[in-house]
Amino acid sequence: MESKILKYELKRIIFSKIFVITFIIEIFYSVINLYTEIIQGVSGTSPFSQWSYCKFLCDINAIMLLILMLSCTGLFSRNEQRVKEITSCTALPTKKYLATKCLALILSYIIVAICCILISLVFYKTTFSFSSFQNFLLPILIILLPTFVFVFGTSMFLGSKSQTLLYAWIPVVLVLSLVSFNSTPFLDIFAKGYVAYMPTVLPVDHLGEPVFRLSLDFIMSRLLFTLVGMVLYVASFKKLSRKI
Amino acid sequence: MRNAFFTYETKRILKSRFTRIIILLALLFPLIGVLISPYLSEDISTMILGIHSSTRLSQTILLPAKIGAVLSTLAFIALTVFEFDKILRFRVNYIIEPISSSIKINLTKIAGLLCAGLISTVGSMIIMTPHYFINIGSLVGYNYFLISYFFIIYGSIVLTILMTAGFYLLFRNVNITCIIMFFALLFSFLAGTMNYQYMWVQTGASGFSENFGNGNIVPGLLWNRLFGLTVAMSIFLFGMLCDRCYEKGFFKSLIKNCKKYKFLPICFMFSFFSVFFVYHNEPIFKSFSILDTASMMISGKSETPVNSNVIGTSNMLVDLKIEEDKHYATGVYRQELQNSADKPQNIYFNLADGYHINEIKFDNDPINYIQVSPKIMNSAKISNVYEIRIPKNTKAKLDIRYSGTPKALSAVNDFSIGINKDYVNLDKPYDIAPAVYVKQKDKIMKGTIKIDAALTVIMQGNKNRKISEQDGVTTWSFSYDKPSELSLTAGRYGIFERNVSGTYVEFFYPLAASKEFESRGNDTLDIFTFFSDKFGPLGTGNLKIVVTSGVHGGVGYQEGNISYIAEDSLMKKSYGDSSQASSSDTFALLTHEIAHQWWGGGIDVTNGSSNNPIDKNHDEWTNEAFADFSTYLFLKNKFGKAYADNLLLNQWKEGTKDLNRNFYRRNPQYMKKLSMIPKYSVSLFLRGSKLYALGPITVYNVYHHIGEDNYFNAMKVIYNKYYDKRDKKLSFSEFLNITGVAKEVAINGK
Ligand SMILES: [Zn+2]
Repeated sequence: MESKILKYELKRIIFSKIFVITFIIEIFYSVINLYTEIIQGVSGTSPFSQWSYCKFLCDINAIMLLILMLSCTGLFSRNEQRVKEITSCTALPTKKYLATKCLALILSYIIVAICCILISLVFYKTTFSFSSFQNFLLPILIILLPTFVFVFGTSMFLGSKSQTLLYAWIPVVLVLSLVSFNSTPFLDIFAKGYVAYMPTVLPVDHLGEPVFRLSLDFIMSRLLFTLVGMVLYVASFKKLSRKI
Repeated sequence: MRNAFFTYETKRILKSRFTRIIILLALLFPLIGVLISPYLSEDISTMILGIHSSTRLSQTILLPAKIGAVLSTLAFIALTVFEFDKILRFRVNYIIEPISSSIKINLTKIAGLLCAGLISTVGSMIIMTPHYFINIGSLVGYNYFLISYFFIIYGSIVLTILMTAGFYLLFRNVNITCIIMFFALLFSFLAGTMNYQYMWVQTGASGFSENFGNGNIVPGLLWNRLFGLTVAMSIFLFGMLCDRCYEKGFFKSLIKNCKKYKFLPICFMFSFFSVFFVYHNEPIFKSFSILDTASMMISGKSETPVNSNVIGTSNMLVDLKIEEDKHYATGVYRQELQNSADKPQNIYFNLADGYHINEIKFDNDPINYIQVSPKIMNSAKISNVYEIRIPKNTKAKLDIRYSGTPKALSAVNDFSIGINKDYVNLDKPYDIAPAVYVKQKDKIMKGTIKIDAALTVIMQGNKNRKISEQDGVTTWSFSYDKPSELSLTAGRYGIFERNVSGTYVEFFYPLAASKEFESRGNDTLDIFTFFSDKFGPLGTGNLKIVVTSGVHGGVGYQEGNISYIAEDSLMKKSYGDSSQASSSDTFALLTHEIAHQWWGGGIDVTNGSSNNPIDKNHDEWTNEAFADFSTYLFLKNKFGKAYADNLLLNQWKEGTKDLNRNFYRRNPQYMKKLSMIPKYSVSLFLRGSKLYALGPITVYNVYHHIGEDNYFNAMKVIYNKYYDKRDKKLSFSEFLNITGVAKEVAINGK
């Protein structure tokens, strides 16, 4: 039963006009970003360094989260409220229904992320015949996950209060993604400034590449974002299921 | 009935709470711009907003106006989407459609939104007027304020409304419309370097000059808006064509709309084709994009070929008449040519785009000419190239008559270049006279320039003298022995001149602001005297230092015996206190450009002609190294070591560190993996760091090793050996020989 709803929701998201258009934009953007920006290497590091890969992830993450937030607005639209009125009468527990909906959103994010990452791997393989992709696992984890959890949590929380709040939050996140904070990781949700700044101050290895070492306060800030995101998500969940 | 509906709907839009909030916000946006401007880095204001000038006028008018335009764009995207989404949201389309046509409804909504935009723009003008008055001190130039606010802020609002409405009607989805508009905004920020016409939000206006008029800034602004309007109109009309009829799909609605409103597809076609028409007929620049620049730089610039079978046997005589209020010039070029070969010879000459040939005579007979296609010759992409045929075994006079409005290249986006009412800036030799590609040995270019009597003409070479003056037109003389470096600047200038140990130093400053610039005359003398003492006298007999228009701003350069510096760089404060020193310090720029008179003007520093293996792979070894290091010496002498260290030495160290850490510097073999645009920007970075960080620090290391006295002694030796010897170049190895410093010391500092 639940898997059926999940499948249905996932299909609904993936075949929606907005998802298709943003997906195309995202793919297009990844390619342009890789071939014009990342290929130069961030802050003088090599294009296939972990720092450069972090930068790539930061860049695509902003757009992926934009898609996510816009899809979130769908959860709180008038249509959805009406649907809820109907489903609340059926046997389907609201909590599970909401959970599957969120799961579908998360899955759609993961699908886009995997596509972009695959593109980047193809890029590295074809342009630099580079294939030590295991180096990229840590960047993927530390750049994508905390920001995703934070933005998703806050969006759900604000959306559960009112749709307008969520719409107001979108430009704020956009601006935060455009501004680069050098060494204040607690403000830097997307870590864009951090990954560009650190390679200029870290020591270099025997090849002359800046080492990939994350500072403690950066890791703390990521943990904090994850935590806040999770708390807000749970709070919004409770609120939503109580609403009806 | 119709008008009632129209006014009613407009009133309704204006009365809605959301509209009022947006209007109120948009009113305050320029003010917010002023408040956040101290936190904007220079990169943001040049890269994103396209403001290159730091004159007071540009900072008080353009910065808030452009920030206001960007924020208003965001606000009006929201408002337009909100208004257009109402019909769908309230599910009233099936009620409205039978009563009124969808076109009427859409147009009414647009009109209401335009009114809202106008109210907010006028309001922001009123709010910002005191700010303008306080900063400028009077209402002089207030018309530029009004023009800028109207065309930059209101222009961007109009385009935003039309485009947002168009995309909304096309996609019928709030989120998609917002995303597309967001990318349209990004496009405006990022594509500006390709062509200023793409900057539909912030426009290409780069700055306002305080003393030299504003060149093509206002026409450029208008053209920006015209192009934007054709694009936005096309999007809007297409959106209207696709507006869904009740219960009909995309294509059925399109067909139905085309049938129902016959004029709509016609209007759309008209505006769609005018997009291309307007784009290609851009009047200010010769289209030469950053892509062309990149490809030319990477492939190596190919020049027009010289035909050495034909020799120029007389000096080149040029008479140019400039009618600056018509933006027009008429010229005659004369030179005697000799073809001693047994065959007729084809020769080429370049002339700036915008000029056309009126007549070419050889030996007093008109001859034919053909224009060379840019596909055949790379240099024809930059300027017009013509081909003419010289008969065999002849020696006769070539006579070229030409006229028109010379255009600058669009890649530069410098709106001050060209012939304008108060200011003439012809910065390429082929803007002034044809560059004839025959063997020119020791031939000089001389002649006359006719121009309005109010303007002072400044050209390379000897002192420009007034020959005659009648009917408000002055005739000036010029003569110069390196025609390929010739340029012309004319404006309302005052002249501060001194004869310092045999050299005429002329400082040309804007007449309108003589008070502010007076002290700068003495500064130039200080700099000149310092370098003359330490290096050796400047042989040219005449040095000109010219303050140029700040429309593009922030620049200085040297060409021939003229050092140019933009008015805005000279009006920034020069800090005596080392803690306040900044890279944009004006004294440094002025000193750098004057130092080029020795390094670049008299002595040529390059490894180009050296065979010594030491000189391999040291392309940082250029005039810039010595010009920058000489600046350090002067600043150290005038403001103390701490100041100079902070301003220059530390920057060189930083720059060298960044350079040596760069991946492509460490692994040059990877450069070939790059495609054109990234290759261009990587090479630009590497070149910049080499020239302005690694080069000067190499010279500094030598200086530091041998001490100041020995360094100046070495300078005297270099001066005697290389100054004004055209075929002798100062290579890295020869510099090491003269100073007696090992290569390792020069490179590593120890
Ligand atoms: Zn220079």
